[in-house]
Amino acid sequence: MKAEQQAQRKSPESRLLIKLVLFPCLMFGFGFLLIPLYDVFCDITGLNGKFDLSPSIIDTQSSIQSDTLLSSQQGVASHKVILQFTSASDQQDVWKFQPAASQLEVMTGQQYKTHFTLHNPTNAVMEFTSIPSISPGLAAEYLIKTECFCFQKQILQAGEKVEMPVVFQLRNDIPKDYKKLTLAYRIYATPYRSTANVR
Amino acid sequence: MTTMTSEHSSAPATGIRRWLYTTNHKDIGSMYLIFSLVMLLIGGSMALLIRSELFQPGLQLMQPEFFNQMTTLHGIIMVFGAIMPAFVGMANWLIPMMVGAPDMALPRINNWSFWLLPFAFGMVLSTLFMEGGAPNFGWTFYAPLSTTYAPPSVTFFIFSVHIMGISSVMGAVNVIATIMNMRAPGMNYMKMPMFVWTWLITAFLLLAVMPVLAGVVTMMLMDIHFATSFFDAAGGGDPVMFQHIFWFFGHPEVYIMILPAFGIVSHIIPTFARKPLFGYHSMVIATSSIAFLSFIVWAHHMFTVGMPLVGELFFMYSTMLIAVPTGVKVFNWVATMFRGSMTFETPMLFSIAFVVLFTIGGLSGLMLAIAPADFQYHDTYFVVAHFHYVLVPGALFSIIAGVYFWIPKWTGVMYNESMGKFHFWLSFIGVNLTFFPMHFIGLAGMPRRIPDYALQFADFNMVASIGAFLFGLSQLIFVYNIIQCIRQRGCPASPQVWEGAEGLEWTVDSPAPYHTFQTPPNLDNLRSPTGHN
Amino acid sequence: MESILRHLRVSGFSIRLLILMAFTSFSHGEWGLNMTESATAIGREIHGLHMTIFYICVAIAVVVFGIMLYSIIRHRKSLGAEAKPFHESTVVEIIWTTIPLVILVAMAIPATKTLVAMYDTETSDIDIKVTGYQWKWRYEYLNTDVDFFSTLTTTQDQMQGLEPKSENYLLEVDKHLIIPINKKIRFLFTAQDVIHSWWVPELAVKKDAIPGFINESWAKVEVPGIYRGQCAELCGQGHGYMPIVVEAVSEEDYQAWLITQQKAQKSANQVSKLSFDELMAQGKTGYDKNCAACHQVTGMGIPPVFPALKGSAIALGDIQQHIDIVVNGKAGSAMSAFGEQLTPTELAAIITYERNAWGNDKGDSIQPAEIVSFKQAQGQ
Repeated sequence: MKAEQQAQRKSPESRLLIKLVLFPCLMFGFGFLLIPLYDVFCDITGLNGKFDLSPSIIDTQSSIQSDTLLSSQQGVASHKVILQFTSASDQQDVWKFQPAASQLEVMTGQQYKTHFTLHNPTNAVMEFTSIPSISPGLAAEYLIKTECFCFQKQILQAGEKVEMPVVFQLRNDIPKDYKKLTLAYRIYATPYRSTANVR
Repeated sequence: MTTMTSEHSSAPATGIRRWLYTTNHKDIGSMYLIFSLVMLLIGGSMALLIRSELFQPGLQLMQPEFFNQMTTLHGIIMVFGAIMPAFVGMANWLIPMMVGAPDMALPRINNWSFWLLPFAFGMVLSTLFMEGGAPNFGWTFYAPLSTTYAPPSVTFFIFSVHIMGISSVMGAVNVIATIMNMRAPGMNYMKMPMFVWTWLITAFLLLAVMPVLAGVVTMMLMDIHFATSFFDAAGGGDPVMFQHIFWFFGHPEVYIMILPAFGIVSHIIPTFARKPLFGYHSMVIATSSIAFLSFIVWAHHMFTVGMPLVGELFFMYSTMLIAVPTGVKVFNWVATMFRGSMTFETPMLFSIAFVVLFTIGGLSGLMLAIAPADFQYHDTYFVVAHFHYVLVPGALFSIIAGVYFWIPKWTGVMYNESMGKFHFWLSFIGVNLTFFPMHFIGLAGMPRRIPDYALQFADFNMVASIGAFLFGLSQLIFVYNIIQCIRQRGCPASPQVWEGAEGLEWTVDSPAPYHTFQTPPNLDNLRSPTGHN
Repeated sequence: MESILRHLRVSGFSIRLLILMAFTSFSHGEWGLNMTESATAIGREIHGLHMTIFYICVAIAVVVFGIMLYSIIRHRKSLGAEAKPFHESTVVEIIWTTIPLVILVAMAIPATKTLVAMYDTETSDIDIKVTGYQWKWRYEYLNTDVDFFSTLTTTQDQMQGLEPKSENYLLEVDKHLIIPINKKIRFLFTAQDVIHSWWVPELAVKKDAIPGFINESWAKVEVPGIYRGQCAELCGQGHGYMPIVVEAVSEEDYQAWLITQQKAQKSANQVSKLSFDELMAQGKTGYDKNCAACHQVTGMGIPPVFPALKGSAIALGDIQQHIDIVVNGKAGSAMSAFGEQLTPTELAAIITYERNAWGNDKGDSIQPAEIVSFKQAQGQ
């Protein structure tokens, strides 16, 4: 009976070994968990100037409230902020990726629309991913974009020129410290489902 | 019951089979130590190549591409091939004897942990001959330089890091299992020698962070070969995230490389001061605090990456805080020396130099912790000076001290004391001549990892290169001294060896028998390292 | 003998410390010991903080090493000292935990103050976008047309020791970053390829340039002058060869420069007909500056990573293909797209040079206008 029990129960040494082997396996998983954790942390705190790449919805129900509601609720006055736009790509003189306006004076709480131009001069269909980044990074949580070409890949036919809109507003409660912001877009071009060499 | 010998013969096997198949902790310890010595000489040769190129401004010996391969391999070999295996080798030799155990808990895994290393480093060194050359992105291998822009050998680099990691993790499991399960009756935790304590804590650090390193190199592998975008902005990834994950491993890693050193020095100084270690309990608490704190300081390697103010402040404060338990340890060593009855044999010389020079490295570390000032120090030779001070006259000196201290026990032969002292003085002068000027050139504005530099940095670079050759060549004296001991050319050593030595390992013969403590020792006459009886 | 040596060591060490303290005001000259003085107010604050922390560290070292030195001299068995077996004291442990904590808090206060000052958000007067490339910097003055590359001008011959080294060896570029004094300049940093880091010690500005993202920093330079810095993040084989030269000038000089720069920008793409000799001469200069780091002055390259151009199929083959690889680069390799970095004149000259130098002697040449039409044919 006793021998049976002993055979079923692991010795303390074996239990320790199991824990010691399990721990590094869990830490390996933790390393991978750091990826979504990093994103969650950046989303919550707006660190790193990264944006949530999905449109923000402004309505009375959502947590992001419209300007008038916010101003009237909190008595926060709208104030002026300078917003700069800048662009980068791997070959600027090919894609001609430019902001329509390089600098705008905007009032917080109000919606604005601007656009970026893009040109595909090649004779193949091209796909463009754009990555936005804002400086100072912590301002990201105050910039609400309801429409942005960065939300999805842009596909341009051969020779096509487009104007890609960005519709945004700055929240009224953005700290007054943030007087000038720079929004940068970096665009990456790849052939669209094509194995042909574009150039 | 079949008749068979219940124990294998107590003498070791002969020839190459002995070393390939041994499960004896003493044999495995010796193999780790010899391996790490060879790696030290290889990594050191690369350092001498680097310092030769940097002797004068201009490109004399090699192209910048190859220079980057040398700096990268030098770092990888020294960190993973020299320092870490040396500490593991000492752990293997000493932990079972110090706790009164017959061997490590998992002897066959122990063998495998060792043999993985020559294989991994063979792979790393073979990348020098591959097309595109060896890894050239620094031992910290930041993405995307190490992913999108890396030579083909990066894949071999990743595999060898995986293998080294498995070796370290298995070794750490072994150490913890041995210490927790196989202490002789009566040796409770607060009676364990300090080397055992520091290794116990180091082993937990290894278990926690080596897998994170494995994770980050796996992510690299996936980015390079499987079209993922962990670290590529184009795919929604982030190069800065690489740095966060890497340094989450990287910072505890540097404590992994120093805690066993603290343990070694905590044996040697009491021995030659003929006094118990001052503040044993405090030393245990301080070591544990350092280990805990090491997990929350990692972004001090990233102060210039563009973190918000709150992040910079947090990491500045936590990094400064680590100075407290480290300082406590230094004070305890000094208090151990104070009012002792000191003699200055070679192990003591290296240990005292450790305390002084490691403290200098620690103080430059404190300067680096001050985030606003770090903007001027980051990625300059000031950082190179700091980490070489804590690693060379820090970790390496402690290993050398430990070898001199215990080699009479391991081989049964006393090393040559005059040669040892000569080795010490040359090393001491050499190491300071090499690394002290690096503080100056770093402050003057010389960045890291450059093969050629502006003229105002020339003079101290020349001094550093001369020092490097002095230091490097004087290690040959050490090698010779060791070889003589192994060949049994020297005075036979007594079991006690050193007048003030305390601990179970000094109760067995010198050389220690192949199998020790096959029955648990009686601890009645053993003086506790706390000083109480 | 032992004791003499030991005295020498520890006192030699203390002497070194004292010399260091005596020389801390030195920052010029080849044996420079200390951080460079700064041309900005925040830089001076950082320098002061550095010195404060340094002196505290020296004080700690002197105390600790002093006690050790005393002990080494007095508490020796050879002098007959006997070990006093004290080995613990909770009171002492608490004292020497608390005192360092207090010292650290004292350090943290000015450090926090300076760090907060570095995150100053006053509106800047000028914004400059700095992009790190392998291996040069690009400067774009936002809201103007000014946009140029800044490349190392130190020659390969100097690096190989065939020519004496210039005074600003490895710290000189073709186009300085010109800024006005007493204006807040906001820098935006990004990178084209790998992580670089923009560092000018005398401005106390260092910030990583991360591909795909932007960072910012700022400087308000008070003293006119030329300030040199270097890339501070390993970025490949040219990491040591992409310096930064900032020139701070008066407001009037800055405005004048801005005007000439904008004019030059417009005329950069203007083309004229060049003779073969002119093309070769300009081509050699351009090649040595932009191409020789990889392909070598001799055209021999460092195969297989950097192919030889001497006798190469491309330099001796179809001229359109040659133009294509220079203008558009080669994906998946270290060959950048020089089309956006160099003017049509520079491109035409370099390509002509490559086809005719080192015994290639292809005999053909290309005019800047052909580069312009090549780019236009590509829809540029």
